[in-house]
Amino acid sequence: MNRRDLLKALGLIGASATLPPLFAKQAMANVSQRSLANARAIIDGEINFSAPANLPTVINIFMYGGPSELAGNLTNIAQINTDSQNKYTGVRGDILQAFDAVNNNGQITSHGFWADAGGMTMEDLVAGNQMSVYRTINRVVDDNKAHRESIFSAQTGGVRTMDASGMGTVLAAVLRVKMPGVFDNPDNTPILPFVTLEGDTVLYDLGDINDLPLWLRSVSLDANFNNPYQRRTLSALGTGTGATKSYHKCIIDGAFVDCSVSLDALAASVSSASKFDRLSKAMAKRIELDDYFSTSGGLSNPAAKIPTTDVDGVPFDTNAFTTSFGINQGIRTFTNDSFGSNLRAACVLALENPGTRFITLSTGGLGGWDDHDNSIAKYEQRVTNLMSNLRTAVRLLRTGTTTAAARGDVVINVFGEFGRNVNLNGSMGWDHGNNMNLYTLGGSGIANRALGKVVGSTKVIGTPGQNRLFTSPADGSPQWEPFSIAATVYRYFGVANPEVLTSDSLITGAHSGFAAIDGFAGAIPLTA
Amino acid sequence: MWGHPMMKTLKPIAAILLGLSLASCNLGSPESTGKYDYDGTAAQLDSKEYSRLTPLQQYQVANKLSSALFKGVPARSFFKEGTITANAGTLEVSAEGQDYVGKVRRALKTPLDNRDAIALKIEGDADAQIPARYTFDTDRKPMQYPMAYMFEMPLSDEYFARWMAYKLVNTIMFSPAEEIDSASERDVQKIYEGLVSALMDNTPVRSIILTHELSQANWRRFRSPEDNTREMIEIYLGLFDRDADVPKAAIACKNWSLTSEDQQYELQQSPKVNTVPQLILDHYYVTTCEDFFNVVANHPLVIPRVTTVLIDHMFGVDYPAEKRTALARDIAAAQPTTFKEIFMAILFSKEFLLSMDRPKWFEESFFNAANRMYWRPYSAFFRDLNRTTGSGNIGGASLTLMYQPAFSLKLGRWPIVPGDVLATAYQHNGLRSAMLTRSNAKLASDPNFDPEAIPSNGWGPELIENASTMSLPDFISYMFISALGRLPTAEELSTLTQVINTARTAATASTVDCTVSSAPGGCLKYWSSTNVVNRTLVVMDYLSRLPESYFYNAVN
Repeated sequence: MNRRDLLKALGLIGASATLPPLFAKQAMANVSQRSLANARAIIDGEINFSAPANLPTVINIFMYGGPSELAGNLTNIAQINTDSQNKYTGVRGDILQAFDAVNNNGQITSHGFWADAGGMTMEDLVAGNQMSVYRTINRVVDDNKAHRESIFSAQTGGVRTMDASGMGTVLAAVLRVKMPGVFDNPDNTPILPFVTLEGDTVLYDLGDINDLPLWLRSVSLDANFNNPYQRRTLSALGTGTGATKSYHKCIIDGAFVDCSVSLDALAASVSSASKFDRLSKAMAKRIELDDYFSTSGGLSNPAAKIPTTDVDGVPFDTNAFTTSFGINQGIRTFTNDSFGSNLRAACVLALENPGTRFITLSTGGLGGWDDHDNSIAKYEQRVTNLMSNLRTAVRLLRTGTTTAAARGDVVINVFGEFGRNVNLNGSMGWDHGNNMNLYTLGGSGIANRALGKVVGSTKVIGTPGQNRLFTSPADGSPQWEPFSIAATVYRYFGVANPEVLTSDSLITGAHSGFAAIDGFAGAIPLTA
Repeated sequence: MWGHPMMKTLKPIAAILLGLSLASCNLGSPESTGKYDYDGTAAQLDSKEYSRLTPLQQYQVANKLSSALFKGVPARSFFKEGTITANAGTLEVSAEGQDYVGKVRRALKTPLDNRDAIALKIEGDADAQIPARYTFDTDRKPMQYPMAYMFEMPLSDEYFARWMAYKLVNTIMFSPAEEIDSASERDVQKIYEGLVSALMDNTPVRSIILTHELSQANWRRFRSPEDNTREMIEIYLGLFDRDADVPKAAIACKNWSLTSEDQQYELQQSPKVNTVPQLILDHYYVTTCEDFFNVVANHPLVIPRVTTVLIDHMFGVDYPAEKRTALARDIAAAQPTTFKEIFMAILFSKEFLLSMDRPKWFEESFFNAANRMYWRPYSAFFRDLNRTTGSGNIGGASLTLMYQPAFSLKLGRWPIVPGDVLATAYQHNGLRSAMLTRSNAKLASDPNFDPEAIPSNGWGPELIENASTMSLPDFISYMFISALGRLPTAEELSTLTQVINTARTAATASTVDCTVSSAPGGCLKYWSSTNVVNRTLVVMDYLSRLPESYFYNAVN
């Protein structure tokens, strides 16, 4: 089954299942019963779904620009340094040495992480069974090194075809069809099931699933849960804002109504043409979100939800994270930048509104990962900040907020569009490469979740002194396509055979798709 | 903020090239002959065909064209006085509105004769005690000034150059990428003003690209030989699967590099010039970086690719791919050599003026409405519009918050207007709060009123100058035509009439229930239905809620 055909089938079934009868009839006017029956058969026959007892939440953190793998993988650094056009040791003199806690030098930690690039925090997270690192996310079927194309494939879990559906959209469509009692109407569906803290993102591109109903579409939030949806000027038809707003009353067709509400209804009724669909839905959702944020039940400032200490008694504060080592591991709370604020918002949202299923954010605020020049010092600091924030996130999820309980079923996945070459180029940076890491954290309560692992080994490929020096999975090492990250997310939500959602005969040939990475029974690594 | 991938723009360049070989080529510039000799999908809307449209359609086309150019045409000046009523049959085009498309075409070739006066108005002159009309941030002025300048400038050859440059810097082709640490506001200014000069001089596309490739500003965006050469191949040739060419091109550029942040990211060239010819793109040997850049700038794919990128931005990638591809093929078939020719071909094509529909960029919706509503900006408007945070005066919005920042994104704006709920909410608040639901009508009764001197916010008194004697249906229709270019539906006319005639509010406490006729304290009728300002505010409030206010409709 071609992935695109399957997604189209998801769209067909969803439309028939979720629309009110009158509209469903109109919407289905061009769809034959046979097509509908075929679509049902396709989905029933193709997607093996069993809902978990508790649906998890996934926080998807995307490192735009293409992150170097080296922070999480210095295992080949000796050969890399020898073969590199410019020597790493010229910038970081102790990079070839094992970390020495006594003398506080050396960069290679026990698992081969880069100590000054967040490596000590990674060691703590792995040792505490809070994180696994997969070192061999490697493109074989589509080794493209262009940013946008690679972002597209990584975030859709599919090949670079036009109109592909984003990972979040596919998940929403599967849940709508396979859990109809929960996701097939707005009354049952939790508010804010799919959220973005990075604005428009490919992760929520509709693609072929263009009938996704309003209540399952993504909602943009800002890091402080402000209410940007509120109309700032109501003076023509009412006064006040938010919960205090007071609309003037009008008599429309003999009935008293809020003047403002009547105009919104009128605008919606005359804007039903399909060309206005996206804008109309956004306008309607804006009203819904304004109401939600304006009421006492809405979300409030996430900064105020952080408890004083975590479940282990460690404070959430701006003091440095102290260990027996002298290495900078960042502060004990979220950093005061857009990444720290967005990650805090994501965690608080997952805890305070457990019906949220998928949250996306970027690492914007830490700096981009397109490290073509003068990279090492900035990269070390950036990964240090990334990892300290991730540690804080895990601590918060294990602790809960001031008003919501801890959760053990929130997964944080961190990855980018591709890795980078390991040659330090003429500008002392790294150019676009392939192999990269997946950092996956939290969610220890999810069945078969494998944490505390460092998986995959690499070898160095390329001609010494030339730019195309890169790592590749070592012989016999497991490796995965980036598509498998999407497959893993689908698996968390109950799709036993997520490879059907990541297969595409256009590029995978006879291959049946890409299975989940995580330690699920039946997961089959793709070998080169 | 890297936004969307560009897969939807990966239209078959090969198909365009094939089409080029098959299409009948009309050589020569339509500019020089005054004829519109594009064929097929690129056929131009000439004055004769335009004049055959109904008056309302002519107005729609006029404002579609103006909106794309960040300008607008007020209904009062487009139609003869007294002919705008609830009946479309009474509309008559005024002398000013006649042959509007032709007038714009000619205006874009007319030299600007008051450049100094415009600059003086914007910046003032401390010595002559002439106050500056606008204020800008010190650092971000290069990003805030261009739009203020365009707002003050009439359609002219220089306006067109500045508009084209603004469009180009917001595409992947020439974005200064101010968001990344190695680029600065100075790079914004250099790229933008450099483009303006080149466009004013009708510099060929290939020369502009070559100049940009060689510039420090380009290297501050793509900062290593491998990065830069890869991006040049992708951006200017549309080839996204030439990974094997990149290391070879990078060898040709191996002596080019960018210094560190401490050394202010200067482009430098070492003496270690490559001497071994490298075969790239199947046919070309390059030895130096200059060779490589020349190959890119002179490659046969450049014009089809550039045309494709601009069509994608002007039509949006949700517009049918086959139509965009056909348009690119037919424009490229005429062998344009300058950006001016390409932009003119797109702007004045029937496909664009009559058939295109898509959401508007904020500049397109706001400045079109601004001209139609006689809006005047407050002094810090252009500063606030182009800040990274929102401004209360623009409904808490800014271009950045709408996910359409200018000059900033590393890969330029993705060629589809951001339409998620948050971006839409900011656009809604921006248009609504900075213009539609604010009135400057009181300026008309101020004896010291000087519309040129008083910076303000909201629609201007000219909008309702002759509206006080109109019947309510005529008035509502006038507002709809002024803002949207269409008449209200029967449902809209009915509901708005009822809102204007019945709106009521509590006389004393806001908690009084005005749905009860005997409410304690009583309720007041809120509007005087003959009060034109109140009427206007109600209709504008409604129009701000319509998706159509943020959308280009097809005319045909």
